[in-house]
Amino acid sequence: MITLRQRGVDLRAIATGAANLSLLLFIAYPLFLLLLVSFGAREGFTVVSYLKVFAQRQNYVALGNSLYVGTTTTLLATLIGVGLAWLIARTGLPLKRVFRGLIFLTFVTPPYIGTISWIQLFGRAGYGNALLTRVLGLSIELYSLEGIIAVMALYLYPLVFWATAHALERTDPTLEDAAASSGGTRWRVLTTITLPLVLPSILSAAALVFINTLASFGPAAALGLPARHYVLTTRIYAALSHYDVQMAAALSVILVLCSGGALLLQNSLLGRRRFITTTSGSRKPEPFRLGRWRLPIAIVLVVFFSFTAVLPLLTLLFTSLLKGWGLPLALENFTLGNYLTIFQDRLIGRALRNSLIFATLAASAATLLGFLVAYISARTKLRGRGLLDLLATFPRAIPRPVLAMAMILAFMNPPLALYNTPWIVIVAYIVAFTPLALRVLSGSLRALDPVLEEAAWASGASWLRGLKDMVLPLLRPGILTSFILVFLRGLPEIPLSLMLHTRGTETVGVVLFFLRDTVGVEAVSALAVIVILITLAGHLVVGKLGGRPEVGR
Amino acid sequence: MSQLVIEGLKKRFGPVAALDGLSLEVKRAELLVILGPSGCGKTTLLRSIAGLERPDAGEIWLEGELVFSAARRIFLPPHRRRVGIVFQNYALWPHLNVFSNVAYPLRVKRFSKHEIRRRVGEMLKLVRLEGLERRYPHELSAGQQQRVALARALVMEPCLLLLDEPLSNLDAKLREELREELKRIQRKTGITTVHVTHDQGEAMALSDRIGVMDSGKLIQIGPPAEVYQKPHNEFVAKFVGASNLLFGDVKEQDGQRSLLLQGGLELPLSGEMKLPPGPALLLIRPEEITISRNGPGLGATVKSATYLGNALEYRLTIGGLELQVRTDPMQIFNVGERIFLQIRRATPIRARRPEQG
Repeated sequence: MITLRQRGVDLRAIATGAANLSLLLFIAYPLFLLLLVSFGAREGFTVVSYLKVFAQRQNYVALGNSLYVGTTTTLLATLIGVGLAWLIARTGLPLKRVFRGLIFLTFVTPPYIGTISWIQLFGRAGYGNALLTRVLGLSIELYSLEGIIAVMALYLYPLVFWATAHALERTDPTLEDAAASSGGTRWRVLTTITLPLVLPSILSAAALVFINTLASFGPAAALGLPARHYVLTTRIYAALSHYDVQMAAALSVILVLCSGGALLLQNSLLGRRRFITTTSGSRKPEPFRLGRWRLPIAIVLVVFFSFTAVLPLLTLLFTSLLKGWGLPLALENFTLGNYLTIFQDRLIGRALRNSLIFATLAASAATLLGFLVAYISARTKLRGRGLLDLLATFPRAIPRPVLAMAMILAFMNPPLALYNTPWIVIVAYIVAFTPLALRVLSGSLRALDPVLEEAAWASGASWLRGLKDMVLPLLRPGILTSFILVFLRGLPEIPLSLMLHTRGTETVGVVLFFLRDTVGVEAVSALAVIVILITLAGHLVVGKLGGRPEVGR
Repeated sequence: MSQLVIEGLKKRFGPVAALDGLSLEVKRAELLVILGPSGCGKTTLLRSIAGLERPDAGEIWLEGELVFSAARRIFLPPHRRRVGIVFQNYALWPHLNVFSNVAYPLRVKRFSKHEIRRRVGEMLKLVRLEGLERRYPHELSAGQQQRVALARALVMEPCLLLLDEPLSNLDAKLREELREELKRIQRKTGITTVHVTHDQGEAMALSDRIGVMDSGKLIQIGPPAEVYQKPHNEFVAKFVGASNLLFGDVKEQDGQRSLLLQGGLELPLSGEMKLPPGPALLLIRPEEITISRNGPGLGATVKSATYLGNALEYRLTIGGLELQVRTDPMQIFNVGERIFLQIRRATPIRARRPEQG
């Protein structure tokens, strides 16, 4: 009896097994260890660390702060995002393309870099505050929870904006026409038909903002730590700095519970989005006429964007070109020396090189892993594919400071002593950004008709051959998008780098975080400008490839 | 020798049996059309033959080679089956031009450049697409895409050609044209072909034999005329061609047979029909009824008329009964007119109690 087995099936099964093993080792094992340590793994099961967490006032203040910052930021970002989305997607507002471009510009700025520019504007010695004091006799206290909220909302509202604008543009205008012809006023149609139709999109984006705020580290640290305003992520960092591993682990578990809950909520909201009826793209809805409000609204928006999108970037640019921060903007004070410093300074040069290498490796590995998982769970019926998908998506619920904790616990000691090597940073990047790669790639794979691959098999191509000749070339935009997005997230990454780096493996994020004080704000600004330019270029390529901007979060 | 033999094929998708113990034989150079409504499992059958689907039970033999056997755990992967397939949406590779699409099967098999050029040229000539080698799929019309897909399926000289509703994406005129084209190419190459469709006109026009499928089972297989004239059951009768299906009792009186319907209506049947008395389900094709203004026959009323160009189709009512009749287009009656009908031929279908209601 001959048993013919498809070689391809074995290969696919091997790939599934290998992917599962690596995900178990690098995702499940560290997180499980973190959970164990939070329950006092070494002294037997105990909830002592949790009791300790709540015995310290600082901790529940941090939890409260996290929730306060999270909800307020979410409300603010949703308000701004929905308002702008409606104005830009549905009304006869002028300058819409310019406004869209500026929102895009705001979004591609890494939040921490945005924070640096805001500090330069409204920090204690900031230009903006100086001006305010002179003119109005008051100043803004940026180093506060409200400062964190303002900055976070500013860099996260584009998520809500795009989700809402997209939903508004895809809502079937005939539904609104029907309501209008049944005698509804424009306001009634807006509140009873349009809004309910796009509500699931808005809520799911809002949940995403909440998750991002809870998990955010850079802005919370830069604006919160100087005045000792802690949120959970910065508390974890502080506990770890004091080598209180158990406390840090317990705080991590609490943070994961909060953001995991929000993520579940977001997923169920995303599921509901399917109810949106979509146009065949034939007709655009009639723009809402703003009448005499058209010009005033446009002016308000020009002011808003000048302050939120243009001014911070200009500040960074000028600082990066000035011989010294605070000097008047006169020609003799300008220099390119700060950019030279980046390449001459051993530490900054090394950090830039490290970040480029780490981000490239992470982008390659995450894209490969993301492709494997997306392919296996969408195109095969192999056992273990459900677990694979779950494991690869899971890090989405894990804020990066928590992930850093888990990595330390898992890879501090042999057999896999990655700590104190560059590999722990790289592995952490891969784990953190595989969900992003997976999301991008399963999206593009879903758009690719499976029959194109089957036609290759029927033409005599083996599984690998069909993958190489048909799937990979046709998926190239998705693969490139995934690579670029992961690279762009990895390049300025802070919490993982900060908590996992060692002498010699510093990254751009570490330099940005620490070196404001040592190298000087001018060189840091120059580095920030370079990072922004790279990020902008990358996002423009992604846009050309057909990716929607918010896919990066 | 049979080119394709299928034994007891079964495949379930969750609670749905897409293939339910299906057996089939296709002779060399034969064109078999599998006809059935959507969801009857015909595409699953095709995909199972190609190796794109793995059935739960049964066996598939191709050219005498066992390519699938659930019991013996044999599953030859699609790329080793030498089966050409034309998918419903053609599945042309959008990043390859016409030449490369057709050449791909040969490139995989590492044919020489020269041989590839020769064979692709020959194939494109066969499907009448010479000169379009450098075009990309999106630059082709639907009909041209279909021809490329056909050329690609045939270029490796497969032992079997599978066509999955290849004409369903075309408009009516093009469909007819390509139907003839398909038949010409099939005859010319002598390739054994299994073609699935839900279009009975297509099935009639193309096939050497028709296999009618329903709920994963092959209900009847035979030459088109046989399937049309002697359907095995109600489903086949209804699905293949328009039909009047009447259930009643066949009675014989003074050498004259008639069908006694529920409600007491009695339809006279012409003398040549040798129907045994007793309960029967009768199939009466619309063209097997003649109507006239002055009789003889049974009185009926014209309920509606549809002009089809080459024929006229009437709906008649007799009592509570409605009958479909097709006449030549010169025979014009008015709606509401009283006419007389005669049944020339009725075919008994396996008798079965009609469902309630």
